[in-house]
Amino acid sequence: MTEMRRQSHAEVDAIIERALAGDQVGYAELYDRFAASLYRLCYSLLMNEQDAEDILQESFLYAFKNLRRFDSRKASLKTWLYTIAVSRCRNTYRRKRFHLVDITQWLGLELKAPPAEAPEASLIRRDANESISKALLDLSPRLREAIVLRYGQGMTYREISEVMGCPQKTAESRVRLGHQRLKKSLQPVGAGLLEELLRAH
Amino acid sequence: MARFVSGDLSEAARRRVGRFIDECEDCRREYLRHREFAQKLERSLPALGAPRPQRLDELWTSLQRELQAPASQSSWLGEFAASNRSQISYGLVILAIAMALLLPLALGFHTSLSQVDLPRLPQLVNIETTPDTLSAEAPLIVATAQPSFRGGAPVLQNTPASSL
Repeated sequence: MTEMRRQSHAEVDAIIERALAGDQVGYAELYDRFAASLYRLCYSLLMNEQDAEDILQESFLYAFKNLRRFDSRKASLKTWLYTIAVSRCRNTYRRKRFHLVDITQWLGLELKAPPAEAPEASLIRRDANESISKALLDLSPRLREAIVLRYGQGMTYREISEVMGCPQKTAESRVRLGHQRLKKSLQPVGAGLLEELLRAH
Repeated sequence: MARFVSGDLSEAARRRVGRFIDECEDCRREYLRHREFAQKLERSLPALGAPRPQRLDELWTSLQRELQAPASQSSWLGEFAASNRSQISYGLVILAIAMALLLPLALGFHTSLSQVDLPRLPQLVNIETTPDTLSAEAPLIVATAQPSFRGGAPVLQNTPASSL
């Protein structure tokens, strides 16, 4: 564990202690620290804004109500929160197995192009966004989780295995397999699209 | 190659593959392509689904309301429903199907009961003598009510008076 990570864990532990002692600001600090990345995780797994927001709220609600049960010696708060969220995401895609497509994508509502952006650039960006979303959705849920946790969240294999509830070797092979499948499905449309997405952000 | 790029190999295996990549031109090209793709994923995926800060603030406000709500039966019920949503929905579907199957039976229950032929009790009927025009061997005809399992009016039979 790096020194920076250890320091970050110590900070989080201190905030948790304050929150458990009744300091409401502590809860807000925990939310600020993890909400954005947790939302991105949920969105990348479900590709649906509304579902991602619902799961974000449910996960924090559950975590804050059960904060006393959290044991920082067993896992980091981030891993714990991600485990809660991934479990809820699994329930959601089991429920919506056949229609995991964001209606906002169909309507083009999620594409927040800057006002000065030319229509052509906006179109390219939309294509790039859609290609990567589609490639992710084409993966099986377990491979998608592994890829998103590894490349989207920068987690270690050990953390991925904790969140996914599988052995570390399984997490490694899922990342490897997901990587190969993504490469295969994204390369026919060209690495240029991926490049466009990177440029857009 | 994938394991080499993602750093899954042991130190010894890593060294072996590294030497191999250095010596083989095609392998080196493949390795560079693979590494480039991994780096692109590391840069592009975190950008996917970046939330609007204003929306996160709104969600925090609504989360605070939920947290401050008094702990009641409905709250744990809500939590249970949230964590077991799929099981509950499957259960509801099964319940709906069961009700749909049972409803016609329940509605038609009384009708079907009324259609069941129940044995009727014998009824008293007036005994009348037959007219004198009948033969002497059977001077008297008595009508008696017989229980019937088919329902409807009791069956009247002619019975000689001597047998009563």
